[in-house]
Amino acid sequence: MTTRLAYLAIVGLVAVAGTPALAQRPRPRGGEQKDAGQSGWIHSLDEGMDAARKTGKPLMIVIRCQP
Amino acid sequence: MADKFVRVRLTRIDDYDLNLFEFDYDLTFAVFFLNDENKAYARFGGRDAKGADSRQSLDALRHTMQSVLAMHERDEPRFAPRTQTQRMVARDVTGWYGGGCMHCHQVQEAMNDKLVREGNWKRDLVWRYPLPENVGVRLEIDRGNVVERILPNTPATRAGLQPGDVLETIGPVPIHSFADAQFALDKAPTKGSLNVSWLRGDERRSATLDLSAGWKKSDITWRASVRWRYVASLPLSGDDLNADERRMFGLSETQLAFRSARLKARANEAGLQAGDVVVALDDQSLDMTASEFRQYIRQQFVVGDTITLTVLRDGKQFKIPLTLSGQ
Repeated sequence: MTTRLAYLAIVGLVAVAGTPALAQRPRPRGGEQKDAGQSGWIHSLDEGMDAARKTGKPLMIVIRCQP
Repeated sequence: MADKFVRVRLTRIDDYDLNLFEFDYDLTFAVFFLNDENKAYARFGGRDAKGADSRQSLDALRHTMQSVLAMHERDEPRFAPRTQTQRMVARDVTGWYGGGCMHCHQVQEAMNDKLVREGNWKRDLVWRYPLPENVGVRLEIDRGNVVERILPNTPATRAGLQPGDVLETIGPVPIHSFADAQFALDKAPTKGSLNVSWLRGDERRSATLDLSAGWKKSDITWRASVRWRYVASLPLSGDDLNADERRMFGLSETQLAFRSARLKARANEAGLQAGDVVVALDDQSLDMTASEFRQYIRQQFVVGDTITLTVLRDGKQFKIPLTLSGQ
């Protein structure tokens, strides 16, 4: 489902990457914020968890079949 | 804002724990928001029968992200409960060990099959992830936890919810999105009561939604996991009566009234005959055409349900029970 929205979501997320959040800034929980790869997307849950532990950020996990 | 999250994209769920990634598996797109201890803040996604994008927007995603960030910052953040604690791997559930792509709806089909095999299948399980409208709440598209309107004479009306209210929890589930609301409603009982809390301005309110039998019923015709097995089909069709015929039978211009013309074996076996004029369902006259009636049956009933059709034949009225099957 959601072919159009899924595409827009992924493209849109890249577009809003620099948008100031209205919510409070996440508390750093150790480690520097560091994106994996140029796009900032990680393709492994374990690596994502590791990054979340290091940065204190919450995870956003998109589940979507390979289009 | 996306930089405030660790962003993970998964294109297969074969080896992941379904107790963690529990969502409406008839979707093929879902977003989870977790902390670093595998606890779920929120879900994003969801749809209705109108279309895959009918309940989503990028603004809605942005709204959910903001709401999750605010929760993440709390000293005592709230998380969505898990249904079970035991790890459940999608690959083991489906028995899908091939190299091809396992579709999400196949996960749900496998779960349903397991319930049938173990004798735990119940008819109500056909209706998963009810829409908030089922309890009388229409949520905004772009802010998935904000009430857009309240439907009249519904549990939400009686609970005192109003447009503009921001849902906080439904049952034990924190609500950040439309998908959270659907998840919470999926976990709710098929009959009974359900606690709901919300913010009106700065004021926190709560009430109980009263849930009557059948409240989860919704259109499942789009759901790949159940539509082939459970969507009921009327085994007859026909043409609507014209105005002259309606006058002759004393029927209104809008009520259901069609002459049976194409009957399948199951209809004949039930006692229906070509030429019968169908005028009521379960003793209720309905304002709809023959075509709309066929769609109504598909949406309101499931395979195995028995309906009673009232038909006119040779100047007499007959009531004919008919057990519905699939297509």
